[in-house]
Amino acid sequence: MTEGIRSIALVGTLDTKGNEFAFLKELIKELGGRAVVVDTGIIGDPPFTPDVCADDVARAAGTSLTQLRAGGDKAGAIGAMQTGSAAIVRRLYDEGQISAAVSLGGGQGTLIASAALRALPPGVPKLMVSTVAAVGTGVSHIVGDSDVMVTSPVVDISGLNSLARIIIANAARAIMGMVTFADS
Amino acid sequence: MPSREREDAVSDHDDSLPNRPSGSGEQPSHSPTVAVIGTLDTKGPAVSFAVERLRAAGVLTIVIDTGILGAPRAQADISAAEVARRGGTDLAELRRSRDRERAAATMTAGAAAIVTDLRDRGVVRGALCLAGRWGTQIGAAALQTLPIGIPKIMVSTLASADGATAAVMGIRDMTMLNPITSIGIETELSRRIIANAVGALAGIATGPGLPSGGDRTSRIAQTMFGVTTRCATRVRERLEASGFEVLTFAATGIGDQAMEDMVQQGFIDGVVDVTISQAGIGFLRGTAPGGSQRLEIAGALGIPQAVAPGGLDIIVCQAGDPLIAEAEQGRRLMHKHSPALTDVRPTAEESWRVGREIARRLSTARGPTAMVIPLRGFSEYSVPGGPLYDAECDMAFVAGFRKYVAPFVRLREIDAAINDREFADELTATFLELTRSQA
Repeated sequence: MTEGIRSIALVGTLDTKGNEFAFLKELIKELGGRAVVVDTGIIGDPPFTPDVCADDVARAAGTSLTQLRAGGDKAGAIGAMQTGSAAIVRRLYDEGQISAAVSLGGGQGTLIASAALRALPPGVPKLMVSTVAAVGTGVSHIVGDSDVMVTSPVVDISGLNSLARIIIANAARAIMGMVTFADS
Repeated sequence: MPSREREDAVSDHDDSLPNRPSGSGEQPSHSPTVAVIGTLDTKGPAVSFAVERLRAAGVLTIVIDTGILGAPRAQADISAAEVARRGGTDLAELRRSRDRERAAATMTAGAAAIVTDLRDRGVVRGALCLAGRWGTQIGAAALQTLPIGIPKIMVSTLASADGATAAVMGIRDMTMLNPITSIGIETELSRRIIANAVGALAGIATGPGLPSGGDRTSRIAQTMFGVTTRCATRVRERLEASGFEVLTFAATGIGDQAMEDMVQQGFIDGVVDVTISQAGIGFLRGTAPGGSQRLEIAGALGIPQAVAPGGLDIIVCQAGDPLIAEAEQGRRLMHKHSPALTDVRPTAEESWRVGREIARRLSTARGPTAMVIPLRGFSEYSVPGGPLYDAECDMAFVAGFRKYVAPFVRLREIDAAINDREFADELTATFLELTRSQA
């Protein structure tokens, strides 16, 4: 488990938030961590190569990215990415390859990633930065009965404007803080 | 009530995060301080544990007690009596009155005032609240006083409840964490989860600043709605081409509030307010969906603002709203937006009043201000042939505005609809003139 102690799963839709995840990955590296990127984007191609590609995520749910794209069933595709990313994140944790997980998401990205985060055992650091957090009962839908930590980014995270950079930097520092100060 | 002075703002630290108390010099302090808020009568041991962990992580604490029922079970730096006093009441009297609502209001006001003081003095670089249902409401208001970028972490079982979490999250970068089990009872799990909250807080409070991106770009806020999207997008592209950074807020009410809040915090250098529908609705209905100071904050701070009457042709109504009945009787134009929402057109008389009120608000500005009016329609729905097209109504707004606006506010009338390229370009040009007039 020593190798994975400062390794963090980054779960998200790289087709829509690729640049934002690249920035998060860079910051985690600067803070002495290692990012294991899991791509859950269904529609487009990622701007950089993830550690686990979207097709692997789909396959972990018994389907494939090509099938999901061709199927035209949006809810079904989201469900498959939920199942697949949850299985992968849990496996990475069980194998000692990660010790925490973090995600940034809008509506769809949050639905998928929060399912993956909830697959980690209670007490394991898990952080969801979600634009739906401050809407209605958004937090409780993300959390369920788990301990997913939820941050509201105030505005949509699209593009690395100065507000998004602050929010993403704090997410990186929070998740690294959790793994650093966990067992002192 | 937010003050009109700029708060200790993120932008004061240029592009770096506000990770040091103001006035502490170039080097970040080795031991940042955070506020820890909790009801020490019920959550004392959990608060003590958090304080211990924070100190082990190199973070100093100021413990604020918001419990009113019993004796504190942990050491407070600011006692419940002091919190009650800042809230305007004596703690002993609060206890005697057994009025829970009044007690909550008092402790909420007191805790918020104390954290505001700590913020203004540049003392705290983060805050943590450990709370049950009672303490969550109180702590949320206190955490919300801290500017964007300063970590604010709420550990509360309300995170998993189907309750009004939106009220707890508010309009700033709040973080919520569900402790799963009650934090009043010490378990291995609750300690691990509190340790996570501490780790996140310490990670942010002790972390390095953001890598500087060179010179700070001027940040412009704009408001957008579906029916003004083309205008907002064009303005954004033009401003970005001129070297500005543009932050776009959805004019949903909450989005309006978030924008005004960012302006208030000093994060924003100028506003292109393309969509002020919520202000119009607020004036007509005696509500304030976009905040009570909508259209006044940029002006009070003296930053340039160019406003367009985007969306003033629309009153968004939920099913069952009496305005929909008036529309169905043919007394108003309407457009069914979705099964739940119907857009109803204000009357000419109402539009005149909205014009007057907006003129009054903009006339309080202390900085360069302009109103740029698209004479051929205030939204996608109000162009000729659109479901809410009513040129007479638009002109009533213009008349009301013109009559009451102060002479220093630049008024420009453009013979185009709001989403026409020509209008967006004129609006952008006007805004750029304002920024130059300020320099």
